[in-house]
Amino acid sequence: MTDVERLEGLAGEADTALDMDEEAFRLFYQRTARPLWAYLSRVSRNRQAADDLLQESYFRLLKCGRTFDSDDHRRHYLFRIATNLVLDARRQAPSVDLHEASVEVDGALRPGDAGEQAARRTDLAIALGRLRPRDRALVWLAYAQGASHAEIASMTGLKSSSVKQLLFRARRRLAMFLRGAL
Amino acid sequence: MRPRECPFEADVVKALVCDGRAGLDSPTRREHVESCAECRETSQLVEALRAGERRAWKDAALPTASQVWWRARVRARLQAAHQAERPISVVQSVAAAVVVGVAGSIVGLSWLNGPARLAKAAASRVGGADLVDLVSILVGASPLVWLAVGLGACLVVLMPFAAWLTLDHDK
Repeated sequence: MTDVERLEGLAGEADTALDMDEEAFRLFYQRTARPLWAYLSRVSRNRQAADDLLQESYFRLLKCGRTFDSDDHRRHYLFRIATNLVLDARRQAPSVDLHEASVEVDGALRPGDAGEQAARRTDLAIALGRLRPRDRALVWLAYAQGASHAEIASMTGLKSSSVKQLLFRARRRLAMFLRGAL
Repeated sequence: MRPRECPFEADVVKALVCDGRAGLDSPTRREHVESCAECRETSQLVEALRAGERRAWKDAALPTASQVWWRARVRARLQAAHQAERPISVVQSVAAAVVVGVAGSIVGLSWLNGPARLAKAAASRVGGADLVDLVSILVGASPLVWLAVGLGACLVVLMPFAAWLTLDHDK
Protein backbone atom coordinates (compact mmCIF):
# COMPACT_ATOMS: atom_id res chain seq x y z
CA MET A 1 0.00 0.00 0.00
CA THR A 2 1.48 3.40 -0.96
CA ASP A 3 1.59 6.38 1.40
CA VAL A 4 -1.15 8.13 -0.59
CA GLU A 5 -3.43 5.09 -0.38
CA ARG A 6 -2.77 4.83 3.33
CA LEU A 7 -3.56 8.54 3.82
CA GLU A 8 -6.73 8.24 1.73
CA GLY A 9 -7.75 5.36 3.94
CA LEU A 10 -7.11 7.47 7.00
CA ALA A 11 -9.03 10.42 5.52
CA GLY A 12 -12.00 8.22 4.75
CA GLU A 13 -12.33 7.25 8.39
CA ALA A 14 -12.22 10.81 9.70
CA ASP A 15 -15.62 12.16 8.60
CA THR A 16 -16.96 12.23 12.11
CA ALA A 17 -13.96 14.25 13.33
CA LEU A 18 -14.86 17.40 11.33
CA ASP A 19 -17.66 19.85 12.06
CA MET A 20 -18.98 20.33 8.50
CA ASP A 21 -19.86 18.08 5.60
CA GLU A 22 -17.87 18.48 2.41
CA GLU A 23 -20.56 20.23 0.37
CA ALA A 24 -21.27 22.82 3.05
CA PHE A 25 -17.54 23.37 3.45
CA ARG A 26 -17.06 23.84 -0.29
CA LEU A 27 -19.71 26.60 -0.42
CA PHE A 28 -18.32 28.27 2.68
CA TYR A 29 -14.77 28.07 1.32
CA GLN A 30 -15.75 29.62 -2.00
CA ARG A 31 -17.27 32.55 -0.14
CA THR A 32 -14.44 33.12 2.31
CA ALA A 33 -11.12 31.85 0.93
CA ARG A 34 -10.13 34.83 -1.21
CA PRO A 35 -10.91 37.56 1.33
CA LEU A 36 -9.24 35.47 4.00
CA TRP A 37 -6.10 34.92 1.93
CA ALA A 38 -5.93 38.63 1.04
CA TYR A 39 -6.27 39.48 4.73
CA LEU A 40 -3.61 37.00 5.80
CA SER A 41 -1.16 38.04 3.10
CA ARG A 42 -1.59 41.74 3.95
CA VAL A 43 -1.27 41.33 7.70
CA SER A 44 1.58 38.79 7.57
CA ARG A 45 3.21 40.46 4.50
CA ASN A 46 4.28 37.02 3.45
CA ARG A 47 2.45 35.04 0.78
CA GLN A 48 3.96 31.71 1.71
CA ALA A 49 2.90 32.23 5.31
CA ALA A 50 -0.57 33.26 4.11
CA ASP A 51 -0.92 29.93 2.25
CA ASP A 52 0.01 27.97 5.36
CA LEU A 53 -2.15 30.06 7.68
CA LEU A 54 -5.13 29.69 5.35
CA GLN A 55 -4.98 25.90 5.60
CA GLU A 56 -4.41 26.06 9.33
CA SER A 57 -7.36 28.44 9.85
CA TYR A 58 -9.79 26.17 8.02
CA PHE A 59 -8.47 23.13 9.82
CA ARG A 60 -8.99 24.74 13.22
CA LEU A 61 -12.46 25.90 12.21
CA LEU A 62 -13.37 22.38 11.14
CA LYS A 63 -12.08 21.00 14.44
CA CYS A 64 -13.36 23.68 16.81
CA GLY A 65 -16.50 21.78 17.82
CA ARG A 66 -18.65 24.92 18.05
CA THR A 67 -22.11 25.53 16.71
CA PHE A 68 -22.74 28.69 14.73
CA ASP A 69 -25.96 30.70 14.47
CA SER A 70 -25.26 31.65 10.85
CA ASP A 71 -22.70 31.59 8.08
CA ASP A 72 -21.66 35.13 9.07
CA HIS A 73 -21.02 33.95 12.61
CA ARG A 74 -18.91 31.12 11.24
CA ARG A 75 -17.04 33.53 8.95
CA HIS A 76 -16.30 35.88 11.86
CA TYR A 77 -14.99 32.98 13.87
CA LEU A 78 -12.78 31.90 10.95
CA PHE A 79 -11.31 35.40 10.78
CA ARG A 80 -10.79 35.36 14.51
CA ILE A 81 -8.79 32.13 14.25
CA ALA A 82 -6.83 33.63 11.35
CA THR A 83 -6.16 36.84 13.28
CA ASN A 84 -4.79 34.94 16.26
CA LEU A 85 -2.65 32.76 14.02
CA VAL A 86 -1.21 35.59 11.98
CA LEU A 87 -0.46 37.76 15.02
CA ASP A 88 1.21 34.81 16.76
CA ALA A 89 3.22 34.06 13.63
CA ARG A 90 4.31 37.69 13.36
CA ARG A 91 5.39 37.70 16.99
CA GLN A 92 7.44 34.54 16.51
CA ALA A 93 9.02 35.39 13.16
CA PRO A 94 8.52 38.91 11.85
CA SER A 95 9.11 38.79 8.10
CA VAL A 96 8.79 40.87 4.98
CA ASP A 97 7.65 39.51 1.66
CA LEU A 98 10.50 40.55 -0.58
CA HIS A 99 8.65 39.31 -3.64
CA GLU A 100 5.79 41.73 -2.98
CA ALA A 101 8.18 44.63 -2.38
CA SER A 102 10.04 43.95 -5.63
CA VAL A 103 6.80 43.80 -7.60
CA GLU A 104 5.74 47.16 -6.21
CA VAL A 105 9.09 48.76 -6.92
CA ASP A 106 9.20 47.34 -10.46
CA GLY A 107 5.78 48.82 -11.07
CA ALA A 108 6.85 52.19 -9.75
CA LEU A 109 9.48 52.50 -12.45
CA ARG A 110 6.97 52.45 -15.28
CA PRO A 111 6.33 55.84 -16.87
CA GLY A 112 2.99 57.66 -17.16
CA ASP A 113 -0.26 56.97 -15.32
CA ALA A 114 0.57 53.33 -14.69
CA GLY A 115 3.83 54.38 -13.08
CA GLU A 116 2.06 56.97 -10.95
CA GLN A 117 -0.50 54.42 -9.82
CA ALA A 118 2.23 51.93 -9.06
CA ALA A 119 4.12 54.58 -7.08
CA ARG A 120 0.98 55.25 -5.06
CA ARG A 121 0.62 51.52 -4.48
CA THR A 122 4.23 51.40 -3.31
CA ASP A 123 3.60 54.26 -0.89
CA LEU A 124 0.52 52.53 0.47
CA ALA A 125 2.35 49.20 0.78
CA ILE A 126 5.22 50.87 2.62
CA ALA A 127 2.89 52.84 4.88
CA LEU A 128 0.84 49.72 5.66
CA GLY A 129 4.06 47.84 6.32
CA ARG A 130 5.06 50.38 8.93
CA LEU A 131 1.86 49.83 10.90
CA ARG A 132 1.83 47.25 13.66
CA PRO A 133 0.31 43.93 12.54
CA ARG A 134 -2.79 44.43 14.70
CA ASP A 135 -3.32 47.90 13.25
CA ARG A 136 -2.89 46.53 9.74
CA ALA A 137 -5.51 43.91 10.53
CA LEU A 138 -7.96 46.54 11.77
CA VAL A 139 -7.40 48.89 8.83
CA TRP A 140 -7.75 46.04 6.34
CA LEU A 141 -10.93 44.68 7.87
CA ALA A 142 -12.51 48.11 8.14
CA TYR A 143 -11.55 49.70 4.85
CA ALA A 144 -10.77 46.85 2.44
CA GLN A 145 -13.50 44.48 3.57
CA GLY A 146 -15.95 47.07 4.86
CA ALA A 147 -16.51 45.37 8.20
CA SER A 148 -18.35 47.35 10.89
CA HIS A 149 -16.83 47.94 14.32
CA ALA A 150 -19.03 45.19 15.78
CA GLU A 151 -17.95 42.76 13.05
CA ILE A 152 -14.28 43.65 13.56
CA ALA A 153 -14.72 43.10 17.29
CA SER A 154 -16.17 39.69 16.57
CA MET A 155 -13.37 38.88 14.11
CA THR A 156 -10.50 39.97 16.34
CA GLY A 157 -11.76 39.30 19.84
CA LEU A 158 -11.42 42.98 20.81
CA LYS A 159 -14.18 45.03 22.42
CA SER A 160 -16.23 47.13 20.04
CA SER A 161 -15.31 50.33 21.90
CA SER A 162 -11.62 49.41 21.71
CA VAL A 163 -11.93 48.77 17.98
CA LYS A 164 -13.19 52.30 17.44
CA GLN A 165 -10.30 53.81 19.37
CA LEU A 166 -7.61 51.56 17.89
CA LEU A 167 -8.89 51.97 14.36
CA PHE A 168 -8.92 55.73 14.72
CA ARG A 169 -5.30 55.72 15.87
CA ALA A 170 -4.25 53.24 13.20
CA ARG A 171 -5.79 55.38 10.51
CA ARG A 172 -4.10 58.50 11.81
CA ARG A 173 -0.77 56.70 11.80
CA LEU A 174 -1.37 55.40 8.29
CA ALA A 175 -2.25 58.91 7.07
CA MET A 176 0.88 60.26 8.76
CA PHE A 177 3.08 57.60 7.11
CA LEU A 178 1.46 58.30 3.74
CA ARG A 179 2.06 62.03 4.10
CA GLY A 180 5.67 61.26 5.01
CA ALA A 181 6.03 59.06 1.94
CA LEU A 182 4.69 61.70 -0.47
CA MET B 1 -6.96 61.54 21.82
CA ARG B 2 -10.65 60.77 21.49
CA PRO B 3 -11.77 59.43 18.13
CA ARG B 4 -13.73 61.90 16.03
CA GLU B 5 -15.79 60.18 13.42
CA CYS B 6 -18.09 61.60 10.84
CA PRO B 7 -21.55 60.03 11.25
CA PHE B 8 -21.65 59.35 7.49
CA GLU B 9 -18.30 57.57 7.37
CA ALA B 10 -19.72 54.08 7.86
CA ASP B 11 -22.20 54.71 5.07
CA VAL B 12 -19.47 55.97 2.73
CA VAL B 13 -17.24 52.97 3.46
CA LYS B 14 -20.11 50.51 2.96
CA ALA B 15 -21.08 52.12 -0.34
CA LEU B 16 -17.50 52.09 -1.65
CA VAL B 17 -16.83 48.51 -0.55
CA CYS B 18 -20.07 47.20 -2.07
CA ASP B 19 -20.23 49.25 -5.27
CA GLY B 20 -16.76 50.74 -5.77
CA ARG B 21 -16.72 54.25 -7.24
CA ALA B 22 -20.36 53.80 -8.26
CA GLY B 23 -21.10 53.91 -4.56
CA LEU B 24 -20.51 57.65 -4.69
CA ASP B 25 -23.01 58.18 -7.52
CA SER B 26 -25.70 59.27 -5.10
CA PRO B 27 -25.63 63.12 -5.21
CA THR B 28 -26.03 63.59 -1.45
CA ARG B 29 -23.23 61.15 -0.69
CA ARG B 30 -20.91 62.67 -3.30
CA GLU B 31 -21.56 66.19 -2.02
CA HIS B 32 -20.87 65.06 1.51
CA VAL B 33 -17.59 63.39 0.56
CA GLU B 34 -16.49 66.51 -1.32
CA SER B 35 -17.23 68.74 1.65
CA CYS B 36 -16.05 66.46 4.52
CA ALA B 37 -12.25 66.12 4.80
CA GLU B 38 -12.60 63.04 7.01
CA CYS B 39 -14.78 61.17 4.51
CA ARG B 40 -12.65 62.30 1.58
CA GLU B 41 -9.58 60.81 3.20
CA THR B 42 -11.52 57.68 4.10
CA SER B 43 -12.83 57.24 0.57
CA GLN B 44 -9.29 57.54 -0.86
CA LEU B 45 -8.04 55.00 1.64
CA VAL B 46 -10.89 52.59 0.88
CA GLU B 47 -10.31 52.86 -2.87
CA ALA B 48 -6.58 52.23 -2.47
CA LEU B 49 -7.09 49.26 -0.15
CA ARG B 50 -9.84 47.80 -2.32
CA ALA B 51 -7.50 48.00 -5.31
CA GLY B 52 -4.89 46.24 -3.18
CA GLU B 53 -7.38 43.56 -2.28
CA ARG B 54 -8.33 43.02 -5.92
CA ARG B 55 -4.64 42.66 -6.80
CA ALA B 56 -4.15 40.25 -3.92
CA TRP B 57 -7.11 38.18 -5.15
CA LYS B 58 -5.65 38.11 -8.64
CA ASP B 59 -2.21 37.03 -7.36
CA ALA B 60 -3.57 34.39 -5.00
CA ALA B 61 -2.99 30.78 -6.04
CA LEU B 62 -5.46 29.24 -3.65
CA PRO B 63 -5.84 25.51 -3.15
CA THR B 64 -9.25 24.16 -4.10
CA ALA B 65 -11.88 23.50 -1.44
CA SER B 66 -11.43 19.76 -2.02
CA GLN B 67 -7.69 19.98 -1.35
CA VAL B 68 -8.18 21.90 1.88
CA TRP B 69 -10.94 19.52 2.92
CA TRP B 70 -8.86 16.42 2.15
CA ARG B 71 -5.82 17.72 4.04
CA ALA B 72 -8.00 18.61 7.02
CA ARG B 73 -9.52 15.12 7.05
CA VAL B 74 -6.14 13.43 6.88
CA ARG B 75 -4.75 15.64 9.60
CA ALA B 76 -7.77 15.09 11.82
CA ARG B 77 -7.42 11.35 11.38
CA LEU B 78 -3.69 11.41 12.09
CA GLN B 79 -4.31 13.48 15.21
CA ALA B 80 -6.93 11.00 16.38
CA ALA B 81 -4.61 8.08 15.67
CA HIS B 82 -1.76 9.81 17.45
CA GLN B 83 -3.92 10.44 20.51
CA ALA B 84 -4.99 6.81 20.53
CA GLU B 85 -1.36 5.68 20.30
CA ARG B 86 -0.15 7.93 23.10
CA PRO B 87 -0.73 5.44 25.96
CA ILE B 88 0.98 2.75 23.88
CA SER B 89 4.03 4.99 23.41
CA VAL B 90 4.26 5.58 27.15
CA VAL B 91 4.09 1.84 27.84
CA GLN B 92 6.71 1.23 25.11
CA SER B 93 9.09 3.80 26.57
CA VAL B 94 8.71 2.34 30.07
CA ALA B 95 9.28 -1.16 28.68
CA ALA B 96 12.36 0.02 26.79
CA ALA B 97 13.74 1.62 29.94
CA VAL B 98 13.11 -1.58 31.90
CA VAL B 99 14.84 -3.70 29.23
CA VAL B 100 17.86 -1.39 29.18
CA GLY B 101 17.98 -1.39 32.98
CA VAL B 102 17.82 -5.17 33.20
CA ALA B 103 20.47 -5.54 30.49
CA GLY B 104 22.71 -3.12 32.34
CA SER B 105 22.23 -5.00 35.59
CA ILE B 106 23.07 -8.34 33.96
CA VAL B 107 26.22 -6.91 32.38
CA GLY B 108 27.19 -5.32 35.67
CA LEU B 109 26.63 -8.49 37.68
CA SER B 110 28.50 -10.64 35.21
CA TRP B 111 31.60 -8.46 35.56
CA LEU B 112 31.25 -7.84 39.25
CA ASN B 113 34.06 -10.23 40.05
CA GLY B 114 36.48 -8.32 37.81
CA PRO B 115 36.35 -4.96 39.64
CA ALA B 116 36.19 -6.78 42.99
CA ARG B 117 39.43 -8.60 42.15
CA LEU B 118 40.92 -5.34 40.98
CA ALA B 119 40.01 -3.58 44.23
CA LYS B 120 41.39 -6.45 46.27
CA ALA B 121 44.66 -6.48 44.34
CA ALA B 122 44.92 -2.72 44.61
CA ALA B 123 44.37 -2.84 48.37
CA SER B 124 46.99 -5.52 48.86
CA ARG B 125 49.56 -4.09 46.49
CA VAL B 126 49.18 -0.33 47.05
CA GLY B 127 49.46 -0.42 50.80
CA GLY B 128 50.64 3.19 51.04
CA ALA B 129 52.34 3.18 47.62
CA ASP B 130 52.04 6.15 45.36
CA LEU B 131 49.54 6.94 42.56
CA VAL B 132 51.81 5.61 39.82
CA ASP B 133 51.43 2.12 41.26
CA LEU B 134 47.61 2.44 41.24
CA VAL B 135 47.59 3.58 37.61
CA SER B 136 49.83 0.70 36.63
CA ILE B 137 47.38 -1.71 38.35
CA LEU B 138 44.45 -0.19 36.43
CA VAL B 139 46.37 -0.35 33.14
CA GLY B 140 47.18 -3.96 33.80
CA ALA B 141 43.53 -4.87 34.51
CA SER B 142 41.62 -7.20 32.24
CA PRO B 143 40.21 -5.59 29.02
CA LEU B 144 36.83 -7.06 29.98
CA VAL B 145 36.80 -4.87 33.08
CA TRP B 146 37.42 -1.82 30.93
CA LEU B 147 34.64 -2.95 28.58
CA ALA B 148 32.22 -3.22 31.50
CA VAL B 149 33.20 0.19 32.83
CA GLY B 150 32.82 1.73 29.34
CA LEU B 151 29.43 0.10 28.80
CA GLY B 152 28.21 1.38 32.15
CA ALA B 153 29.38 4.89 31.34
CA CYS B 154 27.64 4.75 27.96
CA LEU B 155 24.39 3.65 29.59
CA VAL B 156 24.57 6.48 32.09
CA VAL B 157 25.09 9.00 29.30
CA LEU B 158 22.70 7.50 26.74
CA MET B 159 19.76 6.53 28.95
CA PRO B 160 18.41 10.06 29.51
CA PHE B 161 18.93 10.82 25.81
CA ALA B 162 17.06 7.67 24.76
CA ALA B 163 14.21 8.46 27.15
CA TRP B 164 14.02 12.03 25.82
CA LEU B 165 13.94 10.77 22.22
CA THR B 166 11.16 8.32 22.99
CA LEU B 167 9.02 10.77 24.92
CA ASP B 168 9.64 13.61 22.46
CA HIS B 169 7.59 11.77 19.81
CA ASP B 170 4.51 12.21 21.96
CA LYS B 171 4.59 16.00 21.69
